[in-house]
Amino acid sequence: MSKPQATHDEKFAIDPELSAVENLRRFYEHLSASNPEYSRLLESAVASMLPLPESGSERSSKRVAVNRQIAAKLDESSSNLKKQ
Amino acid sequence: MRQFFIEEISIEGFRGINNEGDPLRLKLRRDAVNSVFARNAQGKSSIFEALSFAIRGVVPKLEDAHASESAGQYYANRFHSKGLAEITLTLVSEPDENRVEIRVRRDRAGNRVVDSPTGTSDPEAILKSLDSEITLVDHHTFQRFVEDSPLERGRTFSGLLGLGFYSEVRQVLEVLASKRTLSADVGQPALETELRMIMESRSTDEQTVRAAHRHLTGTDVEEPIDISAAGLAAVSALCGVDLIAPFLQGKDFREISWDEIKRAIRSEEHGQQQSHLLKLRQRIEDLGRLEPVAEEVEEVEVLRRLVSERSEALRNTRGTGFKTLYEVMDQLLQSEEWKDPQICPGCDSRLEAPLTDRVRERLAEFSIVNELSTKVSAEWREGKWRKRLQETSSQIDVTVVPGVAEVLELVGKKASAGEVELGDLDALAEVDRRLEEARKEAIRIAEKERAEVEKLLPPSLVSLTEQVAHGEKLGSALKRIENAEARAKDLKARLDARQSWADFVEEATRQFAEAEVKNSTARTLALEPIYRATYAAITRHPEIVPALRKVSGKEDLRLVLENFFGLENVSAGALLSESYRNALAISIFLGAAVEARGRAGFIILDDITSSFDAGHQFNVMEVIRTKLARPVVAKGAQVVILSHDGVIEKYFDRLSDGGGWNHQRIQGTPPRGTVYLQADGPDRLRKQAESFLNAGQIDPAEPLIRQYLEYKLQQVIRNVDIAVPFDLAARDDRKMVQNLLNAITKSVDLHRAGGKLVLSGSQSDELEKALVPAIVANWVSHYETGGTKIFTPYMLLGVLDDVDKLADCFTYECRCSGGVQRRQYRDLSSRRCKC
Repeated sequence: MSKPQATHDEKFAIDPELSAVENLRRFYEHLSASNPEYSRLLESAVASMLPLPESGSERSSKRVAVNRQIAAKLDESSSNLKKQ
Repeated sequence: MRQFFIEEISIEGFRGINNEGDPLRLKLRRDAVNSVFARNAQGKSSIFEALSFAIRGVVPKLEDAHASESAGQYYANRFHSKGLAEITLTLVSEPDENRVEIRVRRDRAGNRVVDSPTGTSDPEAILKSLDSEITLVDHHTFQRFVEDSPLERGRTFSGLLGLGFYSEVRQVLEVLASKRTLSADVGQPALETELRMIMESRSTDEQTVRAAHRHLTGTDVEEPIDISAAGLAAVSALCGVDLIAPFLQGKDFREISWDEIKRAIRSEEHGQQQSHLLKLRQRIEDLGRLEPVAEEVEEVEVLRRLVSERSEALRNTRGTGFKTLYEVMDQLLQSEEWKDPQICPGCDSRLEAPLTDRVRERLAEFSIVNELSTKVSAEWREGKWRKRLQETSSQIDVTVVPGVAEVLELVGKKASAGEVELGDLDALAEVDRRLEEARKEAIRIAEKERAEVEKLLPPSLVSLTEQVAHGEKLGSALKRIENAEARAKDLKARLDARQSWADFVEEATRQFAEAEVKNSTARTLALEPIYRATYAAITRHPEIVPALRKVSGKEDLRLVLENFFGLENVSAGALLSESYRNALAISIFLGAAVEARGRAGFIILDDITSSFDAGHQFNVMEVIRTKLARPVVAKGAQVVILSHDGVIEKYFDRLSDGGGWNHQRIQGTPPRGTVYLQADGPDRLRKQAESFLNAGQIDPAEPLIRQYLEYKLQQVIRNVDIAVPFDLAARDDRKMVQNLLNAITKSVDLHRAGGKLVLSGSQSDELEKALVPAIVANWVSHYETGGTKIFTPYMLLGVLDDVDKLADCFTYECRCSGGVQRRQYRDLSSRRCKC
């Protein structure tokens, strides 16, 4: 796998004719154009964070857990790249 | 998109509605505006609360109650024998016309259970999909919208337009992209530290390789250092010595056993002196490496600056005792136990501003101290100065520098915890100076001793020993460099991946936020002409033009007046009266309802006109009827209006004569008895009253008789178009029957005097001479004046009959359809047909 590239140049816009869930799906598709792996990772991370807790401490706990999972996935990818 | 409309609401045992065994059933129409009128304390609010509980799972009034009020026991009607609250919604969806029944129950234990008698899967999901900011609206909703902070208002507004989800996703992205936290969360500092240490060690090892290579070969190693080439050069240089050649020939430097070579040299002769010489050389080298380096000066400066900042921040707080106090206060203020954040928990005095902000400011000061302590600790732990001091003190006999060990330990502990002060650093600097002196002295002693040992050994053996030492050092350094390279490569890959991810998330967040702002701005602007037109239609004030202003980059929403009698861009909250502020909130909500509705095709409005006079109430209703609701707006909302206002009820009643309005009245004896539709009422009321009277029970019969009388008299007034005083609805409720009778008799007298009365002679006489006096004498004196005269059940049954006969006086025989049918007069001067 090649080194991850910068995100797509074309701008993303919300389509008012579609539902919020559909627009979010389009957003991830837009990101996938430049980096499908990271787009999937982001989709999973956002889903884990929702609904966003009101309390600051609960929000921090969730964030830390999600980011640690992301770090583990990134290291796994790096490790797989090395094996290849 | 599939939308749901309400066909029927059934309520039993919930809040003020008992109706045990006989639920209140409200039928609603999709093709009409639906209104429900009830006087105070007749169960109207319980209907709104029932819908709130069914759709949202909460009754706001009970949720907001103080913990001491044990609100949980007030969901179910307290007089229902089973204590089980049940609400059933019959929904119809468009465009598929699918009918769904969803039942929501709350049992004695407080459990909310949702199921579907029609077998719909996941009824809870359907209910959740119906919940939005504009599904259930009452006057509190508008008040909150106006009085809320700009941030809360912005969030409500986002919810109104269905944009709440985008806002939430953006906040999530911002949380994930925050550089301040992301770096720490993914372990970046630790990786960077490890990489830095590896590079520093590599740098040291490369210096070792250069020095050893020069000693062994007399030439400089080629840069950049090639591990294999440098190793080969070392082996080649030593292969020339016969004694050790067998241990080197044909081997890669990684395979050489230096211990075997050293044993071979020792076994030659002078073994012990050689070992000692090697040790002395090593000690001199180790001590030499501990010379202070230039980078430490800057490092110490950074550390001193951080310590100084920390001390300053610490002085701004009031000590750890206050930290504990503020933490407890914060917890208390956030809990359900403490309802009013403007009351001090300590002294119960009322404050000008919520205490929460002040407490948080104070806690933030401690957070600053903590942050600086963390930085001090990190700087200390990673610093070269600390490492050198510790290594030096381990190499030197610290008994020759008394007090050094104690200072190092004490200051070291404080610095690791981030609690060191400038005075401590000064003490450490003095320790450093003394250790440096001791180090130099130790080197001098070791060198002197080395020179003496070398004198005892043959020069060739001394030289060989030295060469072997260099060879070993070079080999070890090359191995470490090799291992470090592999590890560094791995660390760099992991750091690169984290940086790449951070860049990706940052850019994704930026793009999403930009799209969200653009969408939100466009939707807000699109709404502007709608809510402005609505506001103008309600207030009829063209010189007041409202506007919503979003704060750039934030969720905040401000309410301003673009024009206020010539003043531009002024505060709506400060200048508008309460009713006009409510009108503004209504305009925005109704505008949003016109613009964007979700799965709920219906909107429930409870007492939304309570702050308006009659004229403005009418304007609001006309806006709803003509701009929002079906049937005038073909794909509009199914609107359900709940009201207790007798004035606006006249408007509902009048419109219900046409086809596009479905008006219902409820009445009853809540919270113990039954709440029912007035349309069902008369027969039910009469039967129940008769039943009680026939059993000799006057007390339970009386309120039913009163309601029956009022209904029948109002029916006559309405159907025969009899004029009533405009303030009839506002008059004393206890004298309503008398008021209604007065209105009827006055109107009849007027028509009689003018020769226009359509009633027959016998009807007119009976009315004037028999029925009205009998009702007034029996009923009015007994009930409305609160007299103690005893009436028998038979007399009260007679009152019921008299009212039926009075109602009959306003009917005639119609033969238009072929048979004989009794019909009411059109009004007091004409019939409904030519009969």
